[in-house]
Amino acid sequence: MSQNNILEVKNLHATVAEEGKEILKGIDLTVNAGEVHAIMGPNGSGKSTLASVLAGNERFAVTEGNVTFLGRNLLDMSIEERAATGLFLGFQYPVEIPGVSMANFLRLAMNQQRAFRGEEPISSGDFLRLMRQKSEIVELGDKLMNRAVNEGFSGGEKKRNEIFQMAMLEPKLAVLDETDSGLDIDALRVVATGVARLKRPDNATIVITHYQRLLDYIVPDVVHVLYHGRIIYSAGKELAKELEERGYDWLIREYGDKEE
Amino acid sequence: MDRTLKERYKYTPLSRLAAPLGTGGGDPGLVFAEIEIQANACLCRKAVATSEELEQTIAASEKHLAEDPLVADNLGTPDNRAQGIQIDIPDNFRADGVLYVHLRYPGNGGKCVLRNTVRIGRNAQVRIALYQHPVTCPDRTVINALTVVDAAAGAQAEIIEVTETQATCFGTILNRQRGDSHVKVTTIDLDNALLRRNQFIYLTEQGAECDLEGVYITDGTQHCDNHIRMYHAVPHCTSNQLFKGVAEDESHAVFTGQIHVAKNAQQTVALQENHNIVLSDKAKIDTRPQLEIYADDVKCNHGATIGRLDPEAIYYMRQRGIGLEVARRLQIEGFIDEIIDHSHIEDLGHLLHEKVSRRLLNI
Repeated sequence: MSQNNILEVKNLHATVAEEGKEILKGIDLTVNAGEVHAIMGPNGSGKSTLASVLAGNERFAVTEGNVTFLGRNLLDMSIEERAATGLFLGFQYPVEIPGVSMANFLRLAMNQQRAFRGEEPISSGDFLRLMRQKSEIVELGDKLMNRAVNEGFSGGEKKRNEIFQMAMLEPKLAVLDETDSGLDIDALRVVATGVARLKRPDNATIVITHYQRLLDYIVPDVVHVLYHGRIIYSAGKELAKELEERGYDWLIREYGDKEE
Repeated sequence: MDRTLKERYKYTPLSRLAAPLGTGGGDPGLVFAEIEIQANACLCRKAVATSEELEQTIAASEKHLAEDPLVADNLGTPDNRAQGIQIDIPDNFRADGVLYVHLRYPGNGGKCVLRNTVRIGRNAQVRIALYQHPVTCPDRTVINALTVVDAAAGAQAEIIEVTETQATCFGTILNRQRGDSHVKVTTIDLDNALLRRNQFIYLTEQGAECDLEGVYITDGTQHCDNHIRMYHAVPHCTSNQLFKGVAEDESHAVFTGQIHVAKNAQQTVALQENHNIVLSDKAKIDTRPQLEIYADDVKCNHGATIGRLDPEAIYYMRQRGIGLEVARRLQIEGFIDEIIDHSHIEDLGHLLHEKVSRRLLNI
């Protein structure tokens, strides 16, 4: 494994914890520092499940395989431990938390992550400065900071808020789960340029998306097609365009599970 | 107890008491509360309110009120023993700041009876914070405080009562509100073995408005029982109730909200909301909205919910690096804070936030 490896997924199988239905059927994925990976695929192929399993969502159970994150066994870590180690999940449906202000929530999150890593808490002054600076990236007004987390935010504001939190927390790996869904073209541009600006040589991004249009702004190094819980095909950025034009059928016919 | 009273006390475990209620404080060794008054002391003093005075108010309010076990118990105590605070706000007087009243109970336990009166003159304004402090012998202390609030026309009052006695804490708050008066009572019940509070509100002249808000937190085998009777006697009055509760372990919390709209009380607006979170499988919440509406042109809404913590919100917080326990606590605080934030008493707000956080550390 190379020095700059961030994520190494090997033969990952996962089921819905309650009913035991298998969703991921052997995922292999290698993400290195500085890379952007796009995961595409038709509805129900397991894209969101992959994001959830990486984050540690307890609705899913890993039945086989292993995942290494920054040289550590990701599957042994709690949800918050994964976050503090540098994994960020941009939610497809960001959750509202009534009564908890954005500023309080984010400061607590930062300080809990810092405490976990044995670092000093951030001072109020530094926190406010950082917040002002980072909220510019996604053109998110100050006024949202005093409101309850995601409560009464428009769809676009919720998604921009996800990218804002990502900017504040500076993860090593960001998994963005359909961050582009439900966005109009302006919001999409803001979100996408925000993500592009946060790209650094020492971090990596996995963009899960339905549409090619997000990839006009965030240029991926690799595009993967997920189908029936497996990555059936991977190629360079030009694959996204091809999928837009031709759909998934030709790939599914060629590489899809013959039994399905 | 007759049937109506039995129904009203259906969930209150009076059987936990060593001596039955209604007999007053017969114990000769009885010591009373230590009352400490901070600020605006000229408006507020320790005093003896006589039974007759209170009986008259009660008689003017509702015929059956004197039969309520808590009220009867309080009135049954010999006069010279029933101290309390007396607050008198003269007409048109706008009291600055907040009147703080600290109630500390004797270390040797016993029954502590208090009779408080709050009179707010015409167009006068006041904010009062009443603290029921922890007692030294929780298992041997029974508190029974009767507070009568008399709000004259145009009076405005905000009253906050915080209870963390750890003991048996009974209380009755009786509001009589005249025209265009506005009274808000917020109760924060943090830590009491057995609490039962009656709030009897009489909106007796047009334009009167009453807001009742409350938070209750219970754990262990605690019982917390808030019983509201909002009486709209005349047209054009408004009432709002918003209560939120959290129950952990094997505790039991009860909310009963009666709204009574008399036949001629047209154009009444009466709203009520009660929301609860149960944190364990054995904790129990009973919520009873009870609407008796005899007028036909009214707006009355009520809503009651009992739920659990939202696992999605907890997952979201943990994904941002917030530990499970902290995430749970944050969500409970967020649930409750709304009520504390509604309070217009700012420095008290800070203190209450702190008290709630500290309380939640233990559950």
